[in-house]
Amino acid sequence: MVVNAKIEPREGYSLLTIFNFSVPNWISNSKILIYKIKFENKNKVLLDLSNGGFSKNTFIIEKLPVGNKLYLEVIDMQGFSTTVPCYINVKINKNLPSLESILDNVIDASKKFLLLEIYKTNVNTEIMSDKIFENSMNMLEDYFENLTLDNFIIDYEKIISFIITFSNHKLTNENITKLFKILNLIMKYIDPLLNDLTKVEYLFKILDNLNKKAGDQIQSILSFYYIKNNLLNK
Amino acid sequence: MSKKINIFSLIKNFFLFISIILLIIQLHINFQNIGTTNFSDKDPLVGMLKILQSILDTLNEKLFNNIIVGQTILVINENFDAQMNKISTNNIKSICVSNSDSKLKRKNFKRIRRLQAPERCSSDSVLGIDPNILSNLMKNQTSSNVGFYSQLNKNKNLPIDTNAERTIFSESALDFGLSTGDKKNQFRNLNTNNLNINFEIRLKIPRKKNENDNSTNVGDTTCVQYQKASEKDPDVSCVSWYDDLNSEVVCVCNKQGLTVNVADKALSNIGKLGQFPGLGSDLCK
Repeated sequence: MVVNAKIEPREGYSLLTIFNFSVPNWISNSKILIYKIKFENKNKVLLDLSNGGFSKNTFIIEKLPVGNKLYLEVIDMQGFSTTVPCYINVKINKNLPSLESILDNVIDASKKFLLLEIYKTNVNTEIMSDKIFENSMNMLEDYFENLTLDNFIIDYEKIISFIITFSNHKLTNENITKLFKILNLIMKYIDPLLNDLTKVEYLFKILDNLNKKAGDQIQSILSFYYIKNNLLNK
Repeated sequence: MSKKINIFSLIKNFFLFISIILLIIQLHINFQNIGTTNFSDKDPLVGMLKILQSILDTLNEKLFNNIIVGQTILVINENFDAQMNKISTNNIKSICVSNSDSKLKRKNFKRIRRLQAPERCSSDSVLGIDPNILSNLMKNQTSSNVGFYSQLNKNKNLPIDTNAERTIFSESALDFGLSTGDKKNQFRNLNTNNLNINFEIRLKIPRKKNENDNSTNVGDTTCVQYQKASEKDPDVSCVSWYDDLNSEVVCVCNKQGLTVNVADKALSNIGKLGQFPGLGSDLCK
């Protein structure tokens, strides 16, 4: 299987320009191929931009994240896949509409997660993080209330990437409790994904981040004991 | 002259007082983030760590039950690494738990002792188990499989009770266990096998900043083992050797479980009496 994707136009703006992907020259013995266009976010998670993939030779994507590299994954009927990078120049949208207006007309929770990820690439994450944080935490809770196994498997990367971001964020007691509830639910549904260690490692990353948070607190306490025991007694 | 000294002493104490107040304020801010009610009324941090540990255990249990004989699963993280192996009588190999921390990979790395599987484990290994030991273990069991699980924690963050008298001294800790079946929860039954196995675990300890650095004083520290995370008091089931050159403590233990070096005067004395029985008698009679 050779030759990669053609993208028109080669340059454009995030959440504004419509991009046309064509994948005409892929050859495989296992006839029907499925193509997925993905991007790697800050948490190093590859997120599918093509809504589960496409099997025709062309595909239109209206909303792309800022960046200069996307990935084309080609999957054959037997489940074998290969991934190649595609180079493109998607610039920051300076006339970015409000997050609310972007999300308003979207009902599907997993599409909302994806749009939030794309939106984040346009804005300084430090400035917008608190605003996005509350929005997406509520979305996550809603999503997990109505979760089915099928949806969980399809949306896994989108959800897990968000939770990784949350676990890096400053968390209140209430939000930590919410995260634990979500993690316990994930434990119930994770079984079909256990053979894919990359996916499992994302979960370890979340636990690692929360562990680190608690570790920082413990270090403060240890410093306190150190001063109390060693300096004050002298 | 004596008045001058008192003034200096007063100023010194004043600054000490201010620094403690600042620390308390910092602690208060930190605790606000963690909260006090949802995890445990007694100790929110330990409560939070125990929930985290239970989620991690569930995940490890699922992974362990999912792997096939002969397979090894290794998950490397910033703060903890997990390793799971399943070995059958047809496929006996040594087990090496490696510390992936690149900071440890130094030139001229010298060891004061060797791990139990010296030819097979690298100099960065934290624990090594020889295939002969595993072979003997399998002979004593009805099951022909051996499962091994370990979790290397690379910071001081552990789900165990600490207080003013007991703090975690080592910068790393190893939780490990051997099973004789397919279930990870069948660990910790070596005592019934009449096998005398000593595990050698190498843990990182704080590096001395200089010769007079008292914060790294190992006098009141000892290696201990927790069989369960909920255990209040650990077993002093190890002897402890300190390797200043490599800033490591070598814990030689006869049990499995969470192995960690703690600063605790009482436990340290128990450890010393076990390791050096002569200290218990008066040599100057």
